Amino acid sequence: MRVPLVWMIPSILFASEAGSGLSLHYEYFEDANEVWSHTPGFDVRAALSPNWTASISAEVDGVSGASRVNPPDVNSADGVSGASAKQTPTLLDGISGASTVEFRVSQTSHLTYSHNGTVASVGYYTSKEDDYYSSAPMLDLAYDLFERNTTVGLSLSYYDDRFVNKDVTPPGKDPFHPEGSARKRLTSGQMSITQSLTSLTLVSVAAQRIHSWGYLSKPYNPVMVKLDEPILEDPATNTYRYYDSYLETLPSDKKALVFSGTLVQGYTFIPDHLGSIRIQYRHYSDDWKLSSHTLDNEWSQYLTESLYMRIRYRWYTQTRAEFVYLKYRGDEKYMTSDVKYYPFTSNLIGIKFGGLFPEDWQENHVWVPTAWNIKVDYLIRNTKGNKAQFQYFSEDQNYHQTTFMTGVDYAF
Amino acid sequence: MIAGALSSCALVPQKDREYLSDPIMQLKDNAAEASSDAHNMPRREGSSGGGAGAGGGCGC
Repeated sequence: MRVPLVWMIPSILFASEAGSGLSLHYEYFEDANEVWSHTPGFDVRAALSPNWTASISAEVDGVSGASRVNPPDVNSADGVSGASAKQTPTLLDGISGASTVEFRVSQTSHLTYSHNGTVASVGYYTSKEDDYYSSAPMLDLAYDLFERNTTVGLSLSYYDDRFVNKDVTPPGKDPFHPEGSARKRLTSGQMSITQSLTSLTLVSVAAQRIHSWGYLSKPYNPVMVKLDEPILEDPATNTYRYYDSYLETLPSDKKALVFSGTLVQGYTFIPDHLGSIRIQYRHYSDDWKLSSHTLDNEWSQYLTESLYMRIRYRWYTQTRAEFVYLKYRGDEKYMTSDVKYYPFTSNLIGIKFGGLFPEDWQENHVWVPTAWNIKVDYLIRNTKGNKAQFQYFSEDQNYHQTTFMTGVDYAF
Repeated sequence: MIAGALSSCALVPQKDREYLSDPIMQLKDNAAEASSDAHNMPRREGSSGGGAGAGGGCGC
């Protein structure tokens, strides 16, 4: 079965040498909160010499923020429907005060050296959007042992991110005052071992330590605290205030440990039609007392010599962070209404098709790619009846999201 | 100890590794898919962090 070099994406863990190529992709995302994004991107790789490869990848996101619940309207008893921008989609975004669409640009550059199973790669990542900047140097090392049946890998990265106030918070609630910005940093170190057990079996285990510190909150997650007694704000209109709103406040330091394992088992029950099962398990725990389990399974099968199908099922569950409560009094040290710190379970199902274009097409037309792929993922989240998250998004109780992605690869 | 254990594994000759290079036998998704996952799922999960794309986006 023909395997184009462009499919051997520079996955440093597998220590394979990639040739020159270009990958183009487009992604569309939407969720139950009417958030959507369009994301075109590319990845270009150039083999500078037999040992050196350079690559640049970049993406542009056009993201809607229209479904975010506006800064809490404390005059409204209903912090969701009364304030959701969904009802006034033609208005400017209630949070940023700017367009309901924002753009995010990210790029990653890598320079990779490989020789006889030893691979070293340095990279640099940057992203920029209206109110957030991120940059990170990265280092990846991989070394093959035992006739390249074993690969040990080490990955290090250091993110230096910055929230910038672009009038994103309600007046008088600027968490960045007086500096005008807030810094968040993150270091990640991962060690891995990959082993080929048979000509159809591959296993990998990894351990990762993540340390983040600085401003780990977000200025967009207002925490609503119900007042014991409504306060009459305007006797003329008989308007009462039922809630006080607070900015999200999270600890300024977090340390996490991640252990993961992957098994890929191929099979050849159908002659000349390879199939495989991939099972990935990931366990995460941090000192905010949040832990999670992820099980990501894929079944892939070649339908013809050059067309394969992949079915994916991903299960995710997490516990709550220790400072998360259904109701706050308003005097707690840490407060959040972000669903990502509450207990929930999510299920994802997906389908993907990929294949090769006929070689004679490329011989006759230079613009014809060597390979293509298309996939759809659908995710549903179960918040276990938790009623706290309504403060942030209007559809956190029945959240679902769909991701569509397609791409093509060229080999030079 | 780990190296010793791994060295005792049966070695797969290079000529028999064709299947292991196939796109459906990879341990990781391709770069674009990995970026997509990093974009759309962990950012909405409490166990995020450590991967590419620590920045915002997608209505975050």
